[in-house]
Amino acid sequence: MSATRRDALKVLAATTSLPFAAQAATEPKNFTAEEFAVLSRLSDLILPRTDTPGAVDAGVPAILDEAAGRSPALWDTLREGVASLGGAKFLSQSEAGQNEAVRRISGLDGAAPAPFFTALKNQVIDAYYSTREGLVTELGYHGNVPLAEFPGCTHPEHQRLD
Amino acid sequence: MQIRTSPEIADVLIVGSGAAGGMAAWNLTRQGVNVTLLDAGERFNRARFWTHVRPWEFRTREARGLHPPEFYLQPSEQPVLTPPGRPFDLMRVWGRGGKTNVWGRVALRYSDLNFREPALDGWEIPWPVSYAEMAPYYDRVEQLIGVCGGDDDEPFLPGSRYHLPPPNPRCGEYLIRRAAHHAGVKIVAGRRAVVTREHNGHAPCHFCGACGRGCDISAFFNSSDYLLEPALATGRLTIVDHAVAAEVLTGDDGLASGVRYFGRQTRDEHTIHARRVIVAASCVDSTRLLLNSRGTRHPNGIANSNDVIGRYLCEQIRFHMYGFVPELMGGPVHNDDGISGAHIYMPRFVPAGGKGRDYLRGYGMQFWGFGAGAGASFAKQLPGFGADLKRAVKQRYPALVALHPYGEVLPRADNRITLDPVRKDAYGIPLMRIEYSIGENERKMAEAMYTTCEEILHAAKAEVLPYRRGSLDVNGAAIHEHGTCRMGTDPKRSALNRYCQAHEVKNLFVVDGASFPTSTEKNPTLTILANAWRATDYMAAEMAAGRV
Ligand SMILES: Cc1cc2nc3c(=O)[nH]c(=O)nc-3n(C[C@H](O)[C@H](O)[C@H](O)COP(=O)(O)OP(=O)(O)OC[C@H]3O[C@@H](n4cnc5c(N)ncnc54)[C@H](O)[C@@H]3O)c2cc1C
Ligand code: SF4
Repeated sequence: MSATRRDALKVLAATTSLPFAAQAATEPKNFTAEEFAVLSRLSDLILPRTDTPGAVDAGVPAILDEAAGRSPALWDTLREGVASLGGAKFLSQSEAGQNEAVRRISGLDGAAPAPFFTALKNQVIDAYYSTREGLVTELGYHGNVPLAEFPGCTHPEHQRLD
Repeated sequence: MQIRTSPEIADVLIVGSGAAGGMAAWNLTRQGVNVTLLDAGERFNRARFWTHVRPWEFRTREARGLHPPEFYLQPSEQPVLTPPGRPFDLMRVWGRGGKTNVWGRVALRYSDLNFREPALDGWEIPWPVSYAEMAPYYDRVEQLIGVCGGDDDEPFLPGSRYHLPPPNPRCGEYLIRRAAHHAGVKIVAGRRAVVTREHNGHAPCHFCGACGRGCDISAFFNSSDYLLEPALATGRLTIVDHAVAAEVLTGDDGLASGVRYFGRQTRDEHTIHARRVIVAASCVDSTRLLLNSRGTRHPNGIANSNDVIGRYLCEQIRFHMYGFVPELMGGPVHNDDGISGAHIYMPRFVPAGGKGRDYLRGYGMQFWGFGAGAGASFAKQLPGFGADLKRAVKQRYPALVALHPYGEVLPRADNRITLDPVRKDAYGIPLMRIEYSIGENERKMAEAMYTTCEEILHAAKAEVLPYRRGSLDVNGAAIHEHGTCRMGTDPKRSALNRYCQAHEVKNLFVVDGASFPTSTEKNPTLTILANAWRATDYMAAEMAAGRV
């Protein structure tokens, strides 16, 4: 293994072992506190904390809030979606109840997913996997670094033609 | 408003500094010709590129008020008009080097058949140039700019002795190559204008994978660093930045006499006189400029009495299919950046015996975004939510494969660029209108393209992300426009002769992709470079002989 590749792996190891304390709670600039709280909870239901950070740990709600500021259409979709789930009342349900509510709009039961769910899920995915928590800690990305050489595939079993 | 006129008369005046204009400037200045070049923007400052800004640093930087360089021309600055329901997604870069600052670097030679095919199938006019004539120019361009790739000579994709070493493919690329082999489809090393070792003073690529943000060490060909800077060093090139050309002027003799242009920001009007004019503003902008050059001698636009300019716009059809290969599911995550984009390529595929080939011309395929990328947008197409979704994403992340076929669109007279009679831009230049549709041939070809993708992914036992057979990217998305000022031997059906010289105006040359009679299935820039070199060799010889 070349030195540069080893270095890259070291960087990865270091970042993976970072503690993932939840990001400092931010004040929303666009959503109301209530909307923001519900969206935060929904983000974590979509990509929860497991043995790696979840959406809230990665600061996804603040990214959603910024995105809403750039797109009035998205803002409306998310706001109306929160209302359709009962607003703050959504948060007083049990975790199982919340999961069930999301499940009903998620398309997992065969029906088409609710447009609100799709919009939120897409935003959460784009946001989460662009953060260090999502991209590096969760997925193990260690690219965009200068390398002396590019090893590419080193597996003879992948390189056969037959 | 006062019109400023430069006192000097330029020997050669070039409009545009992308692949075509940059090559024209480089080749003429090195042969002793003095050149003045108008460019609609300025040099992009490499020190400010975000090549090494990590994805998660973008937001914090932007929050601090920092911005990556704005390569792309905003449609709001230069709107393109299209009929309802027929969008055309035009990508433009105004600035030194043009689109070569951000291009995909796929650098393929056209094959002998690409040049001969129109004559063989009889659809529209033949190419006036053969592979044999272009080959030495391909050799020279590859030696000059550095193209890495395989030297394998395929029936539809010539090899080259001058390729630099290709980067090793990623795991997924090898697996797709094997699957394609099982499906009877040949995959070869990609050919990309990336210098994989130091070449002509250009630093070698360090595989950071961020080419789309501009390369801060210019390890891939861009016209600004590779052509304009050496041309400037001769002392024979003068560049006028922020100069938006509006019209090629003509004298009483009907010859081109200069260009009228506007300061991009100041909006001041200027005139510059010239003995010869080369138009190289990229296919669509060159066409707009020519159509807007309407003097008493050229009421239908300069060099356009036969009404050919603006017509025959041809591009490529394209779509994307994604899947996950089982061998890599849940496996280790490698740094898959490489030279960013595909290390492999599928030359035009024709099923054995031409089975199911009910269309003219053909398609090739690129393979972008294999394995661990700087994001996971494929996750949006996975069902569900929660820990299950998170696990499913992580498992598939190293196993992503992506197929992007490109198919030739036939030239048709009614696929055309015109000038809007009413609407104008901030300088008073008429806005352009693009009317473009694909036809039956392309729809049949798309079916075959889908079949090839399905067969490869099936042979790979890949899990395929949902797709809709037959759906295509919006027109224009391939960013390979051609045909609107085409070369030909018949002056009634073409605007330019075989050396890109206007039939009707002998001191006017158009050397970008507008001059190509067909779009082929391939990425054009290597051929644009070779052709502009060839055309300006001819021009320099004609100048030396006193004929132009
Ligand atoms: C994202 C992307 C990926 C691509 N990938 C590939 C690839 O992999 N392989 C490939 O072969 N091609 C690729 N292309 C296409 C490639 O970039 C073009 O084929 C090539 O740049 C065309 O060169 P050109 O000189 O004709 O035009 P451009 O490079 O577009 O240059 C046009 C020049 O004209 C100037 N200009 C325009 N209008 C005016 C005006 N009115 N007055 C004065 N100056 C003007 C501009 O400032 C610019 O300097 C890609 C393009 C993009 C955007
Ligand atoms: S991958 Fe190579 S060519 Fe691309 S930006 Fe990095 S160094 Fe430049």
